[in-house]
Amino acid sequence: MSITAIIIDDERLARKELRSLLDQHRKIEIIDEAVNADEALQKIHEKRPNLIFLDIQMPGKSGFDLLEQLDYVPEVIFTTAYDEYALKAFAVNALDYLLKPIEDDRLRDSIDKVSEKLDKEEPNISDDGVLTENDQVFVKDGEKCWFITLKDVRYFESVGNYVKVHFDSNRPMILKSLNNLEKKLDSKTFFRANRKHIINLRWIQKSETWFNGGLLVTVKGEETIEISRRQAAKLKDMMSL
Amino acid sequence: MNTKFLYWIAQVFGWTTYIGLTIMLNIGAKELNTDFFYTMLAVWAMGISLSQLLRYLYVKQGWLDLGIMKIIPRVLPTVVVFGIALEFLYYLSQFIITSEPFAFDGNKFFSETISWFFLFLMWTLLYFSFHFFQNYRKEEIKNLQWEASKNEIELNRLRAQLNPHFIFNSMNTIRALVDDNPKKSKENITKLSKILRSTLLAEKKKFTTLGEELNLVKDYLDLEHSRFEERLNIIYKIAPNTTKLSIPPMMLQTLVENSIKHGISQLPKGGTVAIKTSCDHSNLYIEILNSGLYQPTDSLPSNSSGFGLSGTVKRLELLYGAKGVFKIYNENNKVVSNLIIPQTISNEHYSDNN
Repeated sequence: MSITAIIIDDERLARKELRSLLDQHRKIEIIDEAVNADEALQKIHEKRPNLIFLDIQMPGKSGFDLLEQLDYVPEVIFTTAYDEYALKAFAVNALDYLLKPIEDDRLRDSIDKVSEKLDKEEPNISDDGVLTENDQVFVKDGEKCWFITLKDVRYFESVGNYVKVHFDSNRPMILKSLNNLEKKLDSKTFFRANRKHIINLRWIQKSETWFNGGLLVTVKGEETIEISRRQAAKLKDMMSL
Repeated sequence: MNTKFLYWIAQVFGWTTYIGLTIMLNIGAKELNTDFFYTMLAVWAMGISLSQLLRYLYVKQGWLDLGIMKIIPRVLPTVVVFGIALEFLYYLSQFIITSEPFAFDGNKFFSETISWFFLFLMWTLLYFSFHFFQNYRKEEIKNLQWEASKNEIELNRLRAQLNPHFIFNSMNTIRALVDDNPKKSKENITKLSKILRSTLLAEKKKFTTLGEELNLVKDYLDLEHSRFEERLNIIYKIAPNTTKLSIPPMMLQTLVENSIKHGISQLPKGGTVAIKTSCDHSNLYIEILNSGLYQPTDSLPSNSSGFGLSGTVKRLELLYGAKGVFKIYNENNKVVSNLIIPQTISNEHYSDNN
């Protein structure tokens, strides 16, 4: 299976150079190029590549700004000439970057890593814009950034205008409404428990009956979330065959 | 002239003068015989030896570094002892030279001791004041040297290092050009080398000519043009009579680099950088215009514009005082950077260092 990729860089020669380096890698099929974040946003949305090569410093919007705007985040290999500061923002997870001029061996390593990751993942069945549990999202909270695979998220919690994403030991906040998020998430995995929470059903350890016909579920150990009466009925429906 | 030599001249000259005066004053009063001369010669030698001993004491005991209130109670008794000692030696030498029988005269002994005491006191006063003067000057020189080296270090720190982002992006561009346009890739390698060399050499020079600085800036902008292509327009308006004028190295380069980094490279459609120079009898005027917007409040830690600009201001101040001027402001959707580089002052002050 070939990996579809889009190159995003504002410099023509930089794109050309990367293209010529990628010539030797049969696995990679370059389906398009973009010269800035806005163009990239549109092309990623349309063509849904498996992978993007993303320059961090671009005029207007940076590579990070682009990722923040994406609902569907493909695999990302950053390319940068020199920017320790921007790269430090990343939590260690899933960050791959190439320094320009790009070294052949480093490029090969990165591509191998990506293709390994893509092979392991189950093919993405839903093509209707819904995010499945294997999809990853990009989250930036202040100075820190993460790529989060949705199956790692235990639950989303609404806090004012923000949504808190609970995964591992982190709780970054994103500026989104819970209702919008609910529409984008796969309803088979992510369940609207009440006004304030969307939980990942796979993380539920136990559930007990609660007041007014509601439920109280325990998500991975100590965290408990109340499920409203109306939603509890829906959940029971879903869970029973 | 070194201090030790000066000290010995003063020592010998002082004592010789003293003895000479004594002899002259005695011409009328006493008959001048050889014994008297020998005695005076002995006093001369003893005076030098004893004052030498006195100096040794002052230095060894560290009294030179004490405050005046601590010096007086230590030095006064010492000088009294030395006065008495010289009187004894004087008696002894008279006895040896004239071989007259020993006769003690209390009054004479007392008055002579007093005069030796004042002699040593005078010597001490001269010695201490010379020492203090010397120290004061040394201290002052040290301060000046320290100040100068501090400024030198500061200046070196302020001389902009090349932006690594630029270097690596240029390398990447060159790499792409090797296939695309081998001739241009070669030219770019030469230009990048020249820029690197100028940056290294800039640390050794306090001043360069505008012409030389412009050569560097042109190479730099050519390389950036290879990167940004049609997104970068460059305009030069250089008055021919300005190219020989002096300017701190890398100063124009830093500002042009800023105009690319924070101006052109931030604009999806790119823009124009214009460099204009002019001069009058005392100043060189440089104006850099670039598309974009100057935002003084925007100061992230990674953002080195703050450093580039404040560094320029600091350098001008260190080199020219209030006469060097740097201004940056927005005008008609452009960022304008203005530099005023004084010419006369720099020549007067730094012609030695050039």
